[in-house]
Amino acid sequence: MGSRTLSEFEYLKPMSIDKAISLLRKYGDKAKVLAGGSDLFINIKLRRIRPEYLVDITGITELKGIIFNGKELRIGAATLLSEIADSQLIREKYVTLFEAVAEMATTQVRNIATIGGNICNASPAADTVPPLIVLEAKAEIAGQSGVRAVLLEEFFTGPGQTALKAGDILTAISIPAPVQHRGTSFIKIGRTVRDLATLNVAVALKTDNSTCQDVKIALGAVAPPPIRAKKTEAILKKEGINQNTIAKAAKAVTEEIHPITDIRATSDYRKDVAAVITKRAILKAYERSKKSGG
Amino acid sequence: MTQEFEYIGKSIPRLESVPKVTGAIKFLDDMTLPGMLYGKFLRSPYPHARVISIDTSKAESLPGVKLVLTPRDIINMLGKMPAIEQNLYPLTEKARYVGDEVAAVAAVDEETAEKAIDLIDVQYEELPAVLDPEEAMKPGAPQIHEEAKSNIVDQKRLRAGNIEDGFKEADYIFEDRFQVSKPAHVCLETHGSLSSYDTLTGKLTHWASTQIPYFLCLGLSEALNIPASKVRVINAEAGCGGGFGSRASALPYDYCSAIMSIKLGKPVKMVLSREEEFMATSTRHPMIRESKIGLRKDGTIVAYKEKVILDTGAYGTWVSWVAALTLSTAPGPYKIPNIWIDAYSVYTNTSVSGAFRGFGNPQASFVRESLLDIAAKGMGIDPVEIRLRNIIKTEDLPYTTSTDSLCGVAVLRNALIR
Amino acid sequence: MNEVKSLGAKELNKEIELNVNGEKHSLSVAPNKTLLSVLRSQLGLTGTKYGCGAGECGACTVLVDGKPIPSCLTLAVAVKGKRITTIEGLSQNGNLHPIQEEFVKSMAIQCGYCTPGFVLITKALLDQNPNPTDEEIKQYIKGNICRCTGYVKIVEAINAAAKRLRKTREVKI
Repeated sequence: MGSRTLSEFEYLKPMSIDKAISLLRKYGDKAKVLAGGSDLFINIKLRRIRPEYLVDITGITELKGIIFNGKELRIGAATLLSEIADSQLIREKYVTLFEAVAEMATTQVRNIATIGGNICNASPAADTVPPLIVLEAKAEIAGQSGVRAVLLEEFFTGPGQTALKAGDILTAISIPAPVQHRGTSFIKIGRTVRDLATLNVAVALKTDNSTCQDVKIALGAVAPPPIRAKKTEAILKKEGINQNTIAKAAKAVTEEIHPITDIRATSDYRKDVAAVITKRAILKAYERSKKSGG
Repeated sequence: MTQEFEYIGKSIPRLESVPKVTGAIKFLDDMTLPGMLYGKFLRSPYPHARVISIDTSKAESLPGVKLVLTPRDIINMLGKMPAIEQNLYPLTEKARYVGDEVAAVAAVDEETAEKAIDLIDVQYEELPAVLDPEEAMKPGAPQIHEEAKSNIVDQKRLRAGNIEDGFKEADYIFEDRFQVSKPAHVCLETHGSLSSYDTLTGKLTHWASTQIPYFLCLGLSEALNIPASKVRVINAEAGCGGGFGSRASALPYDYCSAIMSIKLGKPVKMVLSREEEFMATSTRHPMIRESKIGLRKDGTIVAYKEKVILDTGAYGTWVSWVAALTLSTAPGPYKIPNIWIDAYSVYTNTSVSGAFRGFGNPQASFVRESLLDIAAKGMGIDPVEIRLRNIIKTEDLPYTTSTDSLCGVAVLRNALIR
Repeated sequence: MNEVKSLGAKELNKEIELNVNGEKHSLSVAPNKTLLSVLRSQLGLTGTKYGCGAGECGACTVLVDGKPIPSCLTLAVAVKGKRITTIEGLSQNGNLHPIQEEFVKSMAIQCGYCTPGFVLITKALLDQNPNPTDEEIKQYIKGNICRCTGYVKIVEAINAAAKRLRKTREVKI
């Protein structure tokens, strides 16, 4: 009931993906992946879990790095949030991800926490997820049976649950190259500046004047995994971007989401606020799409 | 005067600022003594439960564990508990809130102590719990302290003039029901103490980060039946890492670190985790106030009536004083001829409410000022203006209020105008 | 310090070298010990504090290779070989660091429990951004909580320190 010490475990630090996978297979349920530890150690302190082996993956070079090869951006799963926030490319061309990461948690936590950790912890309120969904990101997974890629939208199977099987690790996130006239945005509502999201929304919008060529809207903390508001998207795709359609979209979003009441907010509050921040996020993305995109 | 002074009128850095900014100054948890042991509590997971049995055998046989204490082990050591902590026991066989201390452990290090806590087996009989003070006041509610007549631990009243005449004279009456929440102090330093008992001399030295070293000394002396001349309480070198009222009581860890040190003849340190802080240290008194204000056409207040329910939680720390202050500050700086306030302090199976800066005043003032705003709005009077019409002015001083308080200061009027 | 063997467990300790404030320490450390607990218990450096154990209050802030991290969420074994700076490492030759002096002068210290964390986060901020705006300061230090001062004096101290360091163009420690 509130310990100051961690339960006992062995600490292992493999230097390759293969070694990491074999350790995870060997120890099965008794092992947990350690990246930054900002979620893991809290769970251990609260005695929700008592892993006997921690497999520290932060020494594996293939899991780090932000590399753009012209066709796609690859972010290693063990890349620190602070490294993502410091990336000029992400700040300019993938603004929704930048906005989410730059203000996540605290300066200190961003220096240890990883994007892979935030994704694999699979909280419905994860801040990196809605932006990655609207950027059409894929999760690259390595495991016993080799490597595979899963659309991030399909990566979450429930609160705290992912498509990772026993012995799998997330190795990287890959995001398609930036698109002309696409503007993106991210808005988060939290009780304080460093809190978990009560609600968050990411929008990616490709326009040609006021026709909406493509739009993706993803919301977090409104359903077990972060969701895409597809019906709302359809309205904008069909009817374009103007005061009326944005108002319609804001209303439609409240009908697409099924938020719960928990210690952070009531379901009603989340629905009301979802309408407000979705509207603002669409407007922001629209402004950006009209300029240089980002 | 144009004379230049060396110290007067100057900003002089505080002496302790330098060791604080270098990290050299010692807070309670920074202290170690030779042979020191670490103590931890086992806490009830239930809001209301009787302890049927405690099996300490596994904890006792864990290497590094020096002592496991249950309520039975200490009952003969306890003398008189201080009045401000009505019924706050170091260890209890009846848990009255989630976090109530049921057993304690002393071990060679913190990790072992925490492991040992997990190895203690407690059988509880869960009892119906009452979390709402209005429910707790009703006859037939679960009785939280069996020795008390009911869950109403204290009743106070404030009277002035004639309240019925007052409301009859009122041209406008406004009323509402207000609830004030239960904020925690959240001092950055968590609570704790370090006791060192010298078996040869019978002297107890007790370090704590405390706001009340003298009370604590007397409290330990009375509770543990040690002459006060043999109890020495020393505040940690750095003082408190935040107090705000939370360290204005002797708390279970004070008694238990002392008891364990007495039994072992070794220094014992107990420090709480942040979760324990939220669970098991005090908060401000939440209150329910049904308040009614009567005003004349000209905006002057003629009557003020309240029914106040203080939720004191599982134990009554400071409750009588907070109740008294929440009554005496209720009329505020205004001239109110007719007053009728009843305050009921009630036990509930929630964490303890205690001293928290303001001590009953914030709750009283929040409600009174909110009601005055409601009145101003309802009467179409500017909210500053309505206060100026009621406030005790400088030229009235010294002013004896309707409740016989002597007012010596009236700076508020100028502050309002500014 | 005591090594704890749990019921029937094997010897888990690792022999590591920690570089703290320029000094190398050879230590035997259990894997489950946080950097915070090793600094405080095994090295006696109690300036770094426990505030929440969850990386939210900043009281445990230390610099690792110049970057501020929450030492309560960092394993000691994971930072072997890295350059660790605690509050004790900031003053040089018995002289306060300018940041420390400005905190004292600005009266930015009340109980003092949060102070080591704030001083170190300020060091990290000004090393990275010698001329921060108030907004940049507040964003950067938002991971440090103070329950006593209300932050106004702390931001004043940081501004004063920034101004002073820009004048002297101090070299990064």
